[in-house]
Amino acid sequence: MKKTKHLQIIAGILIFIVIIIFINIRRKEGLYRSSMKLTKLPKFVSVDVNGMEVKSKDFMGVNLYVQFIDANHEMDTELFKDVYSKWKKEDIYFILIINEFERFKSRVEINTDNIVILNKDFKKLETKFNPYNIVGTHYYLIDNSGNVVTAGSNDSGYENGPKVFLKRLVKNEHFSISSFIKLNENVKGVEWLNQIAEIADAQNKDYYVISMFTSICSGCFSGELVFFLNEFYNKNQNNIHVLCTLNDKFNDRDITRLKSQLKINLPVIIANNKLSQKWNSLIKEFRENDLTNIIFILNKSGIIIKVYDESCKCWSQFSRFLKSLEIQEITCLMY
Amino acid sequence: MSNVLKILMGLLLVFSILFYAFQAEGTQKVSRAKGTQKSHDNWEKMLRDYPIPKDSIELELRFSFPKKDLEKKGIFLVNPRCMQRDSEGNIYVTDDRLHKVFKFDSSGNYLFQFGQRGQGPGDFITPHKFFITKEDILIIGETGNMRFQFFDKNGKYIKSFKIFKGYNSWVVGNNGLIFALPVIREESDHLIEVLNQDGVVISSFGEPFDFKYKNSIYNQAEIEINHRGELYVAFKFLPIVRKYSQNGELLANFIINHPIMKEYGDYNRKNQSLLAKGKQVKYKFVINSIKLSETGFYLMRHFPRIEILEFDNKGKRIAQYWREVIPYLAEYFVVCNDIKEKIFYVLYFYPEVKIDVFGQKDNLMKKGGD
Repeated sequence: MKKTKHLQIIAGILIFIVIIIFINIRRKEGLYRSSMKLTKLPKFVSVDVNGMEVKSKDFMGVNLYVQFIDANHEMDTELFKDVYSKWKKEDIYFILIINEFERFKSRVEINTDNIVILNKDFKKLETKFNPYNIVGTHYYLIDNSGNVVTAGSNDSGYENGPKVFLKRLVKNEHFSISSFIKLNENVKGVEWLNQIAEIADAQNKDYYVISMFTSICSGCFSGELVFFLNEFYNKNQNNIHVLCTLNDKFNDRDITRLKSQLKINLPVIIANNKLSQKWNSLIKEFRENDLTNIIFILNKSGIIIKVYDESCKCWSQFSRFLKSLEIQEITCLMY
Repeated sequence: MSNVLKILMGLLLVFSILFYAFQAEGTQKVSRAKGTQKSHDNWEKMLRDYPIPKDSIELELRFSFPKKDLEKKGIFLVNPRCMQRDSEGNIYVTDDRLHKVFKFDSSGNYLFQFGQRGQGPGDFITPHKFFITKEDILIIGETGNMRFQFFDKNGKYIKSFKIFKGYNSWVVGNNGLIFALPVIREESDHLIEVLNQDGVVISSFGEPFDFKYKNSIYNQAEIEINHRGELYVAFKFLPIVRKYSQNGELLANFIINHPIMKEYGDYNRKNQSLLAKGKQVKYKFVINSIKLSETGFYLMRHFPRIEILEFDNKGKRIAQYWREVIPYLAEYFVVCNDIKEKIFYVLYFYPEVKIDVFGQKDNLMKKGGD
């Protein structure tokens, strides 16, 4: 009986120690998190411009757009104007945390149905959201479970900033290039890819690796892709045609600049009218970041056998596939 | 007895949880305060460990700008990236958060601004470094749009060309060629690339320092050109300034004899080896900025005090100017050789954004001694 009691006490102490360690770890995570980006809608209580109490829990179950606005900062106001004009009739609520409401009011016309304006506790809410960290966060998109879907600064503007994330959150629209460049489709039958089909027709290669870029910089992922493709081209140009396609922002002189600055020699072309039209319409509908760093592979007949874009997060798998084409050639040579 | 023990254990648990939960927020504050205190202690220690040499010249603040009253008109800097001076003494500042360029006269009076966020001619996305030619043409680099844009001194757009790699600093030579320092990616890369006025790289020269991994900032440097067309390259993380001819000939390699620069340079060299082994370490700035004079060059450091060292063209130090300020981050400066004295404009970007203008303290000529 006594032994059981002792065991109970020891078990109790052990549980106690485990809980303390667990709490300690969580506490440290909390400390670390304080300098990191926000992941959940923080708990807060404040008062809106009409003097009504506003609590964070009032927003559970709704999609939420939160923005900090420095009324002196034109770009903060401009970003909000863009977001609000396009999304005010959709299933989303807006929280604006403003330092000078009167100044803001004179610049932006708002309907107060789905918007809460907090202008009393700017500093307090700043510490809760911690928005002005190194990346300069100004807005947060929060889903109906209170999770932060994305956060960003006003730097990117609406088109390259919250637009795509609002589409995902509110309309459940997700972008994938494979909806437009479809597996097993022959490029000869796709009108907007006729430029690629013609190039493939003129060559007699086993495979065609076609890449599409709206921007390239050596220190970015696009640069890494270009260097990779250039190396791949130099190794395999006998049986694989590698092509870098730039959108119509660029011209022939840019190709010379690109090749001289990055010291590359793979073929580079500018998209023709049809490709540009389609490319630009997709950029307009989604955003430029989704329509760059795209690679697709055609077989000898022009059939699309593999598509890569950044959203698939599958670069290592894709590059392995490319390497496998390389190995095939070596195997053939060995035979 | 057993029940009493259980209750006691339960209470102990509840109290402990409450204690830790409430302590968490307080600990955060303490931790932040400790962090600030630590940097402050470090600053004070550096001031003690590295006293100012006796023959150095103290600077005094003459004025600061942009002036506070401009804020009400919506004119202020948020995140300035570079500052340069034109042939008339006007000061230009790029701001990569506002996507604009601001122009002030030499007295700090606001003249005008140009640019807005966008991709068209004259627009900017994150403008950063720039160079002003002797004809007062501004060549402004943009990270967002990846291009160099050319403007006249009135902010009128002239032309632009695309760039496909990061350039840290650039100047224009007598023959119109652009000498630019690229981000060094591979061992085979050169320190300086020569671009024609259309942005095509036509040659390159200069060996980078022992390069151990891709896209290193170890070789990050700033380039300046003097009236003789000699190129000066100051390494940001090493106490070294190199002088090149425009044909790529290495004319001189100055090793700067300065205790903090030496210590930080050694630290960075050591960390370069650690980084090569995959360890995460930070570099310390050795030289923040370089500017040239008629007869030599100036180097600026900002920690633990603003120090501007003046050298002749043989690399011999001829003067040292200093100003003790609370830890501010300053990355750019310009020098104005007034008839009476040297004036230094220092751009601070953290924690307060401002340009301080310094003259020599107790300058008799300035104070009516002439």
